[in-house]
Amino acid sequence: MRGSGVKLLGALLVIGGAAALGHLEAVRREKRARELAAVITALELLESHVVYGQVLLADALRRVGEAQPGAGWAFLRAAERLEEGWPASRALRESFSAWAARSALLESDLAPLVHLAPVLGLSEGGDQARHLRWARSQLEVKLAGARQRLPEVARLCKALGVCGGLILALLLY
Amino acid sequence: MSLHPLQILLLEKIPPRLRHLLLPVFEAAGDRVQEIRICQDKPILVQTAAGELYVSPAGPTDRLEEAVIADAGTVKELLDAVTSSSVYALQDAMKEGYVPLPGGHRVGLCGEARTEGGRVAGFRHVTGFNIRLNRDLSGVARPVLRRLVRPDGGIWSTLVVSPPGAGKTTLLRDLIRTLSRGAPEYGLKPQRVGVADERGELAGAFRGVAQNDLGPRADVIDRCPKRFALAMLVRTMSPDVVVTDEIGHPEDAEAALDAVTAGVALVCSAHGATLADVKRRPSLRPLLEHEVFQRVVVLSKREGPGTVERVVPCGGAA
Repeated sequence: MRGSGVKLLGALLVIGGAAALGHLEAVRREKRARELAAVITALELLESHVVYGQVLLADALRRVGEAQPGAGWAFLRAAERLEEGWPASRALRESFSAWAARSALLESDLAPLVHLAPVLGLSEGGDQARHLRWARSQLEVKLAGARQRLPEVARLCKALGVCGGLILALLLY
Repeated sequence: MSLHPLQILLLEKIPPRLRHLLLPVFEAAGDRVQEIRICQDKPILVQTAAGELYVSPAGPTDRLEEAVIADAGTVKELLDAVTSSSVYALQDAMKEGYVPLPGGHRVGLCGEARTEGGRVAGFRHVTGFNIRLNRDLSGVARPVLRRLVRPDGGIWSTLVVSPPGAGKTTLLRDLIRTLSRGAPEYGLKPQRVGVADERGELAGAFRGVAQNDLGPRADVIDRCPKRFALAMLVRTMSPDVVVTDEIGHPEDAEAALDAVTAGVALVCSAHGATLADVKRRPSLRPLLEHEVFQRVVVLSKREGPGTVERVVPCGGAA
């Protein structure tokens, strides 16, 4: 009697754990889409400060960081590094890498930002606008992919978690 | 040797690698350092009042084979540093071929220029820098001041003539400061000085704030064409004297003439080794024909920059 009770508890734990994993994956996918959208908005803001406002890069990054929660963390960090005298490319790369570690973005999502780092700030306004728009367009493609059937995929992750847990529990039982 | 605060400002602005190379040069040459030339694939050169030096890892040297060669990375780092990674925000100055730095220093640029409609619109690739140090020397105007002061305590309209690098701007800057403060020992009353600083060399302004001490009565209009700045100063700041550097266009001369006819003394400079050189320049003709200047100061580099060759009285009030 006690043995079957323990088995049942174990099965419930397996099912619960697998369901939680499925739920976490669904949340991560939703968060990734939100973060990609936030970076795109941040780059739009940055373009307006750089191209139209002619604001120095450190100030522009700070303004973007303050206006944009979430993705803003990376921009604020880059502004701080620039003010400490880091070259822009190093400051941006380091800040985006640090942010990636705490965000839901994939490494490949950062590629447009890594390409942007060595050229940001180092040419005239028109050229900067072209680089920023290119990075944005790349991120928009990724966002479109991430949003594609996102509700269904999220539901599927959750369902797979529960079903996977059930199957595993049955196999172990 | 301790560094001048303006030199410290410059060293703080440049990349660490260059800073380590240049620090021993500044320690050895002190305030005699005038220019630092950094061009891609060429040795780093420092121009001092005593001559040229190369920069080696061990300090300044006169041996070319020991000189550090500036590579593409050094050039990119330097561009990044002097523009604060904001080339787009400095386009107006870069069209004129330079970038202003804190402390009134300025960085002349070389490379591939980009033109639009026959005018320079900026640089596509920057590959060379000439960092011209602002040496805010106080007291250099004293040797000529007695000859420039009018009996009523004002100043004669004065033209400063010299070849490039012979100290015109340094003299003008100290004149502004002295006029603005007054010098009772020379009979000079404090003057309201309007400064039309088109190239930003007199005030050494950085983001609109003058980095050089120009005294308490100097009003500066910075990075504005002289013809507009002079008219604005006369109209709005009621100056006793207007000062500007390097009159180069007939429009500038016309604006300066307008200022003088409004009863304001004019102090300005022009490139030339002698007064005869200056007289041949069409841009200055309106001023010379109207005998605007009562004094001409001729500078040379004969005994180092700022050597006063002559102070020539001229015009009707001589």
